[in-house]
Amino acid sequence: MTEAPIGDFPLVTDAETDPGFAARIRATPGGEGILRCYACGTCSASCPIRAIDEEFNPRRIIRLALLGLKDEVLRSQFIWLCTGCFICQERCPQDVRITDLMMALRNIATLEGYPHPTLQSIAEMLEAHGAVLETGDFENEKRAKAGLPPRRPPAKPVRDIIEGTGLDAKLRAAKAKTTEGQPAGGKGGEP
Amino acid sequence: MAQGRSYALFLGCNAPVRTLHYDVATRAVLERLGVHVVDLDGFACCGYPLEAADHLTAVIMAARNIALAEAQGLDVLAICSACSGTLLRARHALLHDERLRTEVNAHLRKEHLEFRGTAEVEHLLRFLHEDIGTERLRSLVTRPLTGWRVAVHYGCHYLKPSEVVGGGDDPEVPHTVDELVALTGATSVPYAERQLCCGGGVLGYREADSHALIAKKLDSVVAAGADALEVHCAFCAVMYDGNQKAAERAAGKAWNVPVLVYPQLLGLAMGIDPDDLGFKHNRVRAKELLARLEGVSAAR
Repeated sequence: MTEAPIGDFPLVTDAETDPGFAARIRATPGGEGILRCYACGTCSASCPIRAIDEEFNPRRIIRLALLGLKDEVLRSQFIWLCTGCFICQERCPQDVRITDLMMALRNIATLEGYPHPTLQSIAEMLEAHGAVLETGDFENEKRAKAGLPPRRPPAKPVRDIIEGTGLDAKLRAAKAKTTEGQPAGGKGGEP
Repeated sequence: MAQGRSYALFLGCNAPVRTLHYDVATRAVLERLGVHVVDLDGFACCGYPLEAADHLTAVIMAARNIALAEAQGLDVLAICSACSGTLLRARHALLHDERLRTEVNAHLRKEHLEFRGTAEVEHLLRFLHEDIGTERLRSLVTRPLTGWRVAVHYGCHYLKPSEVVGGGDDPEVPHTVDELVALTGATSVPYAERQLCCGGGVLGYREADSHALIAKKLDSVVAAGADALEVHCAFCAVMYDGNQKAAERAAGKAWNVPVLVYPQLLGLAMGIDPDDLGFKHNRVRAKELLARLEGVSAAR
């Protein structure tokens, strides 16, 4: 920790890194290709979010992950900014499958207690309505006027799935932690 | 055309509530084509919104929907590209990973369902392009949209990942929707931001970024002199039509670009009355465009 930083770049010390983080990502669905990244930057050059929001930089995120900077990655807001367009995945010369990788990082963040609050809202909607939007009497009246059949997505089977995989418990635990004052994930807009 | 097949219409979460015009126009066009679709009560969310939380949960949700159709001997016809993409990616993973399939089916057993992989999943426009075919569709055009300048928005999940969802399209230079638009008599106009994502995926996480992407797209559509933007995804429709006003406020400008779902264009060209294509549910009104149609007097 006594080393002087080089230019504007802080040194990464062993104490801050988790040497097993890359292996963990590699073992997570979607993260299998991370070690193939040779940092060419095709992803960042192609990324529509990168073009408008400098906080998001897929190449940098992959480097941070490979360096083992687990906390910096999992507690960040930037892992939640990928819009899932798959353009980087399509163009990556190393078949890193970057869009899937970004989802894997979010999955790990969720498991580790840092889910984005938006995910909590989405899960609550799905458990209550079987869909991310409610289709109640008001909506079905509007549908009837348009000559459309009613829609009532079933909530219970969806709730069973979210509880059955343990996702519900993970999200609840993270929420309880947040209400105790410990921050989880980033903050965002409405789901 | 897949002979004798019947289709379960998969609407997803957005279309039944926020883009009724897509729902209405799809049914009107399919009815005219003699394609029978079934509404399954059991369909829930495709799973896409939970991919960020837990891959397995999302795959089970997708598999459950597909299994419901399989139990009825139906194929799945999805009108939202986020849904078709999610269902197709889950189906692909399940067909290629026996361990995953076993794990997923263990969860589905509670509902006495099983994913077997017997049902096809298709996006509406791939169905129109590949199963019905452009020749047949062209033969049904009675009111060509001559002179209409339409900007095509392919969207991301209709094309990518190309090895799973892409059909015959080149993900960088796609052509299928241009052909579908051309057969209506309209002109597909080139524009700089044709490939740009709608930003739907980041809406819930950083709304300002989604507005910035809408702005970039609509600036480009206006610069190209297009009369309308074509979409074929419920989420893209929500972004460009439903959220256009919010994006205008954020950008401090006005585009006022009508956003038509493809079956609205096709339906008009087939001579279907605009009232039967849900035009009153488009947030940005297409009144001036509709006034150009021959035989339609009441401007809406």
